[in-house]
Amino acid sequence: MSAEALSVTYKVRSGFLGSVHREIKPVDGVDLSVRAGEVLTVIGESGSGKSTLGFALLRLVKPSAGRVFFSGRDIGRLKSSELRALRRHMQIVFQDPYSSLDPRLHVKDIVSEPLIGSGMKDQGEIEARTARAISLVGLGPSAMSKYVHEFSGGQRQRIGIARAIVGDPKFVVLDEPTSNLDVSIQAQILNLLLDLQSGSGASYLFISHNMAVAQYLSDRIAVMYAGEIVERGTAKEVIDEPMHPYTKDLLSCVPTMDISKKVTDVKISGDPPSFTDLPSGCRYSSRCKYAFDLCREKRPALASAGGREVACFLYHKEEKDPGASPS
Amino acid sequence: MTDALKVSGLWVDYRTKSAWASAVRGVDLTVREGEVVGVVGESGSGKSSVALAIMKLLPANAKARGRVEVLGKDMVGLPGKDAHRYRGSGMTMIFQEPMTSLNPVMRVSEQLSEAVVSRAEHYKLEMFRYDSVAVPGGPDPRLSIPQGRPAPPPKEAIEALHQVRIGDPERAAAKYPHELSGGERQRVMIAMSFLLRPRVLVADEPTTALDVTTQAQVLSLLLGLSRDEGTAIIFVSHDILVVGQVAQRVAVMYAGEIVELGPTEAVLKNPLHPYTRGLIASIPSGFKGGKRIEQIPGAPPDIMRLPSGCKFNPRCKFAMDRCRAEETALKELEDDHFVACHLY
Repeated sequence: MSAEALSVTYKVRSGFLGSVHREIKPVDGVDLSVRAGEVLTVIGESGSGKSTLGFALLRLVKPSAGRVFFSGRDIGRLKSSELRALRRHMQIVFQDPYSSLDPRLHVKDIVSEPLIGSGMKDQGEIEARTARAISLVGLGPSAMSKYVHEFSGGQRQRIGIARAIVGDPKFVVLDEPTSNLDVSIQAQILNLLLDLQSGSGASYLFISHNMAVAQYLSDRIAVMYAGEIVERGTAKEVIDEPMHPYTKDLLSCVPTMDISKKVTDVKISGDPPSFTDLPSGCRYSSRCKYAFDLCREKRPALASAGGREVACFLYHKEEKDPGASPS
Repeated sequence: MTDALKVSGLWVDYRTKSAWASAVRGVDLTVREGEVVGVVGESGSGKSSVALAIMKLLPANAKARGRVEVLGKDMVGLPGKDAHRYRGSGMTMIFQEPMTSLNPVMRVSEQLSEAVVSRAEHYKLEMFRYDSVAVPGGPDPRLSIPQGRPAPPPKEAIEALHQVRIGDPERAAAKYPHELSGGERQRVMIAMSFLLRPRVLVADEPTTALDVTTQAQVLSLLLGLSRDEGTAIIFVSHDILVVGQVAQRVAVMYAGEIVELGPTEAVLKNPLHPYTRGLIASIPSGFKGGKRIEQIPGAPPDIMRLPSGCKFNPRCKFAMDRCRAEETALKELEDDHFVACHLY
């Protein structure tokens, strides 16, 4: 799965009776590729555009620009019937296991839906695959003919995962699948996801705001801020030696077992910008303690530095305006 | 230091269709002036019921038993209509979702002004008199409540917004809650606490809905409140690492009981109860391909169908016959470090 210069634009209305029309771009020119068999985590705060990016890759929202390739085919050019047949190979697990599963269907009907949707007709095969998916996620066969409300949050998320993996997908988007779960249940789901991924060799795009979870699950991490990827590298590079000032600030705010490291000492100011009111130049410049003139004038591109990719003028000296001096 | 809050033998029972179920089963906890005590537990552990019982804000189908003394006054026995006199400058609460605790049709400035007025009202009650803090100057502070059109917010309200590091306090004061971001709303709630100068603050998952960068800011504000004003804070959370950032002592709750209580560092570094150990071991750490995180099997029990003996025994790998037969009680094992487990 890969994307080139992917953008998503939403129209928003504001003002008196929605008289003011504006466009916001929660995903703005993102290049991304998820390699075969890897887990890539997109980490970001609320409103960073990370979920929209996941939806756009699966064409659950229509990108306004850019192209998405899946197994070498441009999915923007596929007919809707072709796309539907492809769906079972690119799946998603949603954040909220309460609202994303149909309460009126039996679990077996929820889980088998991607197979039927992609045109599978053979009842025997559908049943066999469904039963296998349900057992893979650790639910008993009795779950098949129950309704979703009979399950706890953790078990519901297992049902959501079973639905995603039933068609042996090559690519799965996991949109914060554990953020509504208690820690002890989260541990069960994370281990389950790791086992399923290594067992199937599928690629996962994991969307998260939780650094510890991202670290535990990913091969590579992409940090997203205000619709852009600002840093991308192996999990170890990004977490052990963050380069972008935002990644550094973000990591310093994460509470850890080391309670002598106080997040309350961190002096990070302000909130992430609103998409209707983005700062000019680098989008982090309004909160960055290293920002200099160039940062407010020009948008830094994601370019290689220190073995990974960073979008920050601190590391791309050759791009620096000779007139600008670091403050 | 004196105890600002003393909870002893607290039970909270909820009436259901068929029977009464106990969400909190015999909790003892004290919070001293200027101290932050964390209460950690998963959903259904009873931690929020403890918070609501302290504030006397339990829903109508719930009943508290035992004693909850706020500044020496028992809340459980207090008639409901009198409780409001203690809320505000006596005790105040911050909820997880600030939108539900702010009035959507009042401007931020009006709501903050209310806090100033409410504090002035409390000074009339002997028990809330502060000798060190002057009653805000000028005429009757009630005059500062804007009537009809929004009046300029009192200086104190703007200062409080500035204190909680809201970018442009004047602009934020003129807004309605829905026009603010989640982090700004939670900071308005904390600004309100600054204005009220409560003796006891109950914070129920105050940062759960916030991003980590905002969370760090809010935690540091709460710490400031306890340090500078001597506010006793009870910090309820599902996240033991967040609690570790602010609390001097931590209580771990499971199925309505405190199973472990001790200094934060001792509980985090040397957890004694198998549940606390499991909780800490299940926090993801390390990189992919490294050590697998341990998982606690099963799920927390339904309070309608609690197991006999220790409530954790069906999920505990150390469970013995005694654990299934005999209830546990908190025992002091190390200095100030208590655990309720038959292993010790």
